[in-house]
Amino acid sequence: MEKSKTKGIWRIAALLFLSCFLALTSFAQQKDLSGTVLGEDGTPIPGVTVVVKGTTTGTITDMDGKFSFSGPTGAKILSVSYIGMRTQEIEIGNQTNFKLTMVADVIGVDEVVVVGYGSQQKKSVTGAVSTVSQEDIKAIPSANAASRLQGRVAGVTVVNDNSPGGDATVRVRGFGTINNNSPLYIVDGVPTEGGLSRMNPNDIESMTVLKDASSSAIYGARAANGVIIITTNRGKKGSAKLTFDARYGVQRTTNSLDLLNTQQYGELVWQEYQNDKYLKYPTTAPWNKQYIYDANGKVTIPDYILPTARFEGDPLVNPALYDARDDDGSPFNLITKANKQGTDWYDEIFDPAPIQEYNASISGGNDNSNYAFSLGYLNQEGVVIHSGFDRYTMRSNSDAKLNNWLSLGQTLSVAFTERKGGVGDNNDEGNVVSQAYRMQPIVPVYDIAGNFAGTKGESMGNGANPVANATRNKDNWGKDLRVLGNAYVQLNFTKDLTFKSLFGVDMNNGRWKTFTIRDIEFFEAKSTNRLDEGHGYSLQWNWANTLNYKTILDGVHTFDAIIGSESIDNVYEEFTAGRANYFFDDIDYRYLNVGTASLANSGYATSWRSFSYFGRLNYNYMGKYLFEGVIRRDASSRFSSDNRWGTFPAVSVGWRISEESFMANSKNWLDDMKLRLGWGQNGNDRVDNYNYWTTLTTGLSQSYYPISGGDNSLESGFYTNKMGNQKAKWETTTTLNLGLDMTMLDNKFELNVDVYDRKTSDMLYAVQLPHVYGNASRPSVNIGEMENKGIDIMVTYHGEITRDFTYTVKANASHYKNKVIKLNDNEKEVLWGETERGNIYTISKAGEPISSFYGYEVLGFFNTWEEANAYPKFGDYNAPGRFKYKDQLTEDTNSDGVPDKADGVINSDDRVIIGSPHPDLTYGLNIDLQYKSFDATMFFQGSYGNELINYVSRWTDYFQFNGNRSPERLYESWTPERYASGAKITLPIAETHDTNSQLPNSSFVESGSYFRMKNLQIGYTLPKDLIAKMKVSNLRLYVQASNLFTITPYSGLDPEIRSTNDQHNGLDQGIYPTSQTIMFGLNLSL
Amino acid sequence: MKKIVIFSLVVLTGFIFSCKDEWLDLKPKASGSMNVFYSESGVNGLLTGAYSMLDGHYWNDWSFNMWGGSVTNWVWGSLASDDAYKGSTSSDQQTLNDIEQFTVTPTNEYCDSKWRFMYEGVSRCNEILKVTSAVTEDQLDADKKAWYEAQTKVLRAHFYFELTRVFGKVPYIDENTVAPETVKNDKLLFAEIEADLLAAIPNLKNREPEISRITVWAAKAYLAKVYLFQKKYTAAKPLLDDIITNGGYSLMPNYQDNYMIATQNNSESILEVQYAVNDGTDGSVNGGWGDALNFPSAGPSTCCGFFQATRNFANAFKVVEATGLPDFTNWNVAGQEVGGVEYTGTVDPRLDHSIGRPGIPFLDWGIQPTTNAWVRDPGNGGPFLFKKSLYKAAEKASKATQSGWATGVNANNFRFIRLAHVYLWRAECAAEENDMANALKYVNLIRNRAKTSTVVTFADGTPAAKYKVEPYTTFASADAAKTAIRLEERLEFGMEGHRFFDLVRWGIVAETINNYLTTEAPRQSYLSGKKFTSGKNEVWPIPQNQIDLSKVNGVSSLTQNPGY
Repeated sequence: MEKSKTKGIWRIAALLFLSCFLALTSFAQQKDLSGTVLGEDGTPIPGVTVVVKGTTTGTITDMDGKFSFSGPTGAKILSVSYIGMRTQEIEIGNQTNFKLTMVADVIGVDEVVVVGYGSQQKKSVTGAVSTVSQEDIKAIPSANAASRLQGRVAGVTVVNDNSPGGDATVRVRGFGTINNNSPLYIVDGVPTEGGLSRMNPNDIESMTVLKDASSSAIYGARAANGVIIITTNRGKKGSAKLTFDARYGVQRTTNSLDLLNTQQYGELVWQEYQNDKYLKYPTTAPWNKQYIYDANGKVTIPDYILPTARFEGDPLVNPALYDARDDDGSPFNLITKANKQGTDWYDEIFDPAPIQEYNASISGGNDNSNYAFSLGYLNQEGVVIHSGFDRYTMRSNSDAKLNNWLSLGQTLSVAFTERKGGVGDNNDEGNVVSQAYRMQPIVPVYDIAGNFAGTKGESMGNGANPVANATRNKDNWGKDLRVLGNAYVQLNFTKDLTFKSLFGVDMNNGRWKTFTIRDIEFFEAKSTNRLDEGHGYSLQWNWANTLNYKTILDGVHTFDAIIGSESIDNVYEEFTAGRANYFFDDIDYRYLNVGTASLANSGYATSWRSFSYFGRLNYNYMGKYLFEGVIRRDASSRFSSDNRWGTFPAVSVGWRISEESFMANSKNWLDDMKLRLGWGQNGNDRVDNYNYWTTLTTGLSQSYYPISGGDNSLESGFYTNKMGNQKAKWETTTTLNLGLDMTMLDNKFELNVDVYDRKTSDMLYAVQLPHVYGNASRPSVNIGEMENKGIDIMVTYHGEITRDFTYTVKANASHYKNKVIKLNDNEKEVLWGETERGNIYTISKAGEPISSFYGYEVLGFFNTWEEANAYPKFGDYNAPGRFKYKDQLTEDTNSDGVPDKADGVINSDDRVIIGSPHPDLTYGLNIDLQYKSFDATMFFQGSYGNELINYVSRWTDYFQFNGNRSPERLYESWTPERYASGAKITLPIAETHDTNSQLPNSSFVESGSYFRMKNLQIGYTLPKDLIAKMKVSNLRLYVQASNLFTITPYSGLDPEIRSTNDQHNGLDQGIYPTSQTIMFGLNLSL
Repeated sequence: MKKIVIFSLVVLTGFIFSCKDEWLDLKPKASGSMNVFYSESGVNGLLTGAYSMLDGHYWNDWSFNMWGGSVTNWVWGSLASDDAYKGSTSSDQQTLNDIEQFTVTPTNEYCDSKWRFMYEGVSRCNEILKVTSAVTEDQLDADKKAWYEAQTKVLRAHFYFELTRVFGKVPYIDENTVAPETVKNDKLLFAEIEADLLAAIPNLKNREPEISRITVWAAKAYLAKVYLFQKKYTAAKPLLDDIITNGGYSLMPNYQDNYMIATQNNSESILEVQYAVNDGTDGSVNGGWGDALNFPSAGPSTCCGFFQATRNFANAFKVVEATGLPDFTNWNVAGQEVGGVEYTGTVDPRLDHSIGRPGIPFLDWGIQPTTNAWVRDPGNGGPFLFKKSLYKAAEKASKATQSGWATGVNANNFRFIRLAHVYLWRAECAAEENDMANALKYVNLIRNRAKTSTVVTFADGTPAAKYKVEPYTTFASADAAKTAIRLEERLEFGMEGHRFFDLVRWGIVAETINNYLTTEAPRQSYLSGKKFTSGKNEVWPIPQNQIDLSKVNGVSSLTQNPGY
């Protein structure tokens, strides 16, 4: 099945390839043609292809730009083309001698793309490289530049954390390793591994993704997960240009979970009570003590929940008895009314919130220098109350050419960001959004005194009032100051030989402060208030030196060679401190020195270094046959000196079929066609920085002991915390890539197809040793293997309906198939995902994709006691209304290594793979329309075929603590009556002993496919003559809506679920949902 | 000019291109290698690290749970016995349900937790012995070395004894083992445990200025405990007599002193596990975190409502009013159970020092609400709370944690072996050799102390219940003596993690537990249909992942226990 699928991919590629040869013909009859081809500056250009249009007859110009050949007598049009120049078509008429001037082509396929340590003509690129333009990057109002890549590039999967200033997970071509899968970012020559929310996306001129090994091998060691090169704006030749961009809008949530109201909840409690009795549990009363029932189960909602189930007039609800005072020794008495209608907790925590973004820049330049300076401000308030993100940025880029042999330049960006409030970790059961489903509807937001109400009352479960949490945390913050920049010097020894030395710095200074206020209304109330602060400091420098030689021999052999070296040094240090027991909570009192108890401090540091040599040779013959060879040797401080060095080669070839003379006939419709084939290897060293050391250390929580008997003091002790592996070396990822680039119909239509096979070997895997070795963390050893196969397709079409009405359609789609081939020598080795409330939902093991869903397979429900009793036992679980789990084949009776018999009991051996978070297809579709002064952009993006585990429904559909529940539990769960009447049943019987029904099983797996209208923008550019009077060169006004709609079968809050752990993907634990944003903006330039 | 540039450039490039390999030799921050520890302070540092495993756990980033390892053995000694219910809600910590109900499978995370923490302890001890075997006389004096090694060996004996009691046969790894994954679990390790203790005793001291260091008496008491587990009563007796005569220990005046922070490390305490809180550790992990769940979910603490006393355990405190002796006949009769303050029968006063009952004062926290408001889920865990590990309201600010979610964690030490153990063990030895006088003497020392101890009272000073406890006057037979001694151990050390292991060594575990499961099922529905299988449930399964990880050429070095 898998095999045929991949075969299919190659077959499609071959078909596409062959289809291009259909128009090939050739014929003859002679006419002498000659001439000279000059550049714009008047110098002759060698190597220019000159052919008679529609034939294979032609030649290329010599060193003096001259050509001469015999064409057919009927020749009408001469086609003249050269890489980087606009292809021209000249009427021949009676002329036989021509003087032609080539014009540089800056659009379409002739554009320059950024590659490692340099740039190339797009036409001559042989690797899998895609670029996202400034225009596209600017379109989405997301704070994080990485999340603006979503849906733009085939082969790049982006999953957003939608909280303000939140991060995004970017994966290039699947998952290459069980270790770190983040791509390497190169920002103006400075390598970094993320933190893209701390840079201004508006400063970015382009983002180029190097997807295959042949394009990324130049970054060898750290490029196995792909490389994203970010180039920021530089000044252009011309007079100073001032731009100002502004947009302001409102975000809102469009989705909330459907949960029960107070009355319905009371009915559910009764149903559970009846079901418990039906299941023969000795039960005397409904579990929830707040609701009052008559003999028929008619529910009465009390006036008060604290004190339990009381009514007005009861002496205990006398407001005079209210006590929230902590200093009088008496217990709290937080008298709380019941919310009889039911609190809509989502409504309480979600509020429309503003988002605004302003950018101003000034840039300009002349022949010898250029400059670009910009300021930016972004403010995104959260749709969850009391959360937000602010960013202030400044950038200054400049280049200066001092004379014909020396130029200098720099880039500098300073960004200050602040994350405000504390809504908890995204995708976590403890965050504010999750607390909304963990709160019963009967709990009001405030108690009778106007203080926060909570779960202190009886039978209220252990949810935490999310309004209280968000409000109390509103003054918490995390602030970062990031400085990222470089300076370079470039020396031109000769016209062909240049040397560049670049020194880059990426520095981040982070501070955070969290003050925890006591939550006395909460079931698990904290005993004291507390302040925690921290400071993290990272500094990385890199120094890259390159020597570049470019030449053209005999006018037909173009060489571009680069050799270089780079060293990188990275240090991180942090300290944290905290104190508890503050006399009061005032914001001006929240400083460490006035905390009175539980004084704590801690620190941490880590570092790594790398050193590399590299070389690359590009050669092309007549712009037709392209070759690129790369080799990089890397040394990493993460490996012992014996295994420190790794060598990573790559070779790629390209064939510009369209330049062949036999293709001349197709020139009328085919502008360019290139076939690419690349092979290369990359490395990955991202394991523990000190993997090869066995270390002993001391830790307050690990090895200290109060040996003198102190109640508040400890003596320090030591323990082995880490075992080392001297033998660990580089992970190697080998990629084979076959690509096709075509532009057709006068550059209107562009197609890029890439198929790849990417295999990681020597994958670093923490060796598994039995714990008779102690618990010291295990070192990584090179043992695993992983594979990704896939196809990336990108299509662009520039259309014109009338001269005034043009449009561009850009579409991309990608598919990957990930498979763990081997973790270690134990073929049954399983890498478990995280444990959630006692259960593990994801596993990675040989033969399956990383982070596959794992659990029991639900066959249906037991409908009678007879049926339940006759079925293989699962402890004493089997009963009517409960899940019938499949008894998998687990016994191997004929010893052929394949289980062939079920063992007749249901137990943990019966868990199987029940789903996968990996999409079959991710895609993006962008449509730009231009009508006179109006423009419109529509951008859609989506994912198809991926599955999610709806872990939230474990809370809302089952008796997992006493939070709110879904209407399905009340109305569509199994009951004998519903079964008898044939009513719709979607859930097992609603009871209070449903522990085994909550085990990870196939009923939690849902489709995570979605189709989202990511962006709609309609703009109007004011007429030039109107604005010229105001001395404005351009003024555009627009309105924009992002995340306008999402189509998905997923029943949870949002199908876009981001996990920070690649072994734990696709589990929805309650996330900050995507918000819909309506914005107004303007672009102004002077 | 140009030439100068070119020249300097070549030099520069040459420099860059010849980067020294040392530049890439980075050492880990804030840690050291083994050779740093060849000194007295080094050995002492490692030994403190081993002592820190005495509480049965350390903070491990949740890579496995911390509750299974706890030195209090609340999981293995109490929950698995007739003393305790899991408590909390039925879906919370589901794998514990299997321990309480004897439906454990080898993948149970609690088994893995105990295994990993105990072997971490063993491993820390082995590291010390590796260092002391290599250390020179210049680096560490011989007598000091012997003393450090002796403490290490007692600790190692402790970890192996714990492993043996919970898992039966386990692999023996010491400082000389080369390939631990190849060692089989083919024997019980009593010989190795005894050898470590016997080797340690001559080099240990009578008393230690650093209060929690292991003394010669702690080692002797431990050895006696190990002997008793093997029914080697004659070997245990002289050790116990030695401690009683020469140890210099005495019973505290009040039973409750053994459970109060103010009276820690007292004259009765022989081996005490030290707890500290607000010591700079986030969440106060050194405060007996293995029991972090086991505090009331409201009232004195807010988390997490686990570990509640069984009705069976409460009933065991019933006393015949006339004699002040335990009610051996009607103690556990249905319909006459000990309840909250409404219960009017006579009870041993140790009841209300051991467990919290509705309507009875809870230390200085006020009266435990009769509404069960301090109980997380009374339907699942009954009305009773555990009291012995708590702290007083007045001690809250300094002796209970001020950080983390486990708000009940506090500085109240766990008295692992105290003189009362030694007395009752000595009574067991006496009963075994039909020495009724001594059996009576030692049991009554305990009962008389209970009699003269202060009792729980209401604010006005009136006793919270009808309390009575009197010494036995005589034992009718050796069997009667054994029954009385065994009950006394249950009452004196209830819910302190000894009960299950005591039942095992007395050889009455199957009948006692099965009887308990039958009589308790009507009170606690989830126990119905559960049973203890003799020959299987005396020990717990070897963790499946440890069996899997110990595969050498496809065959595991570890053998699973029978029945699992």
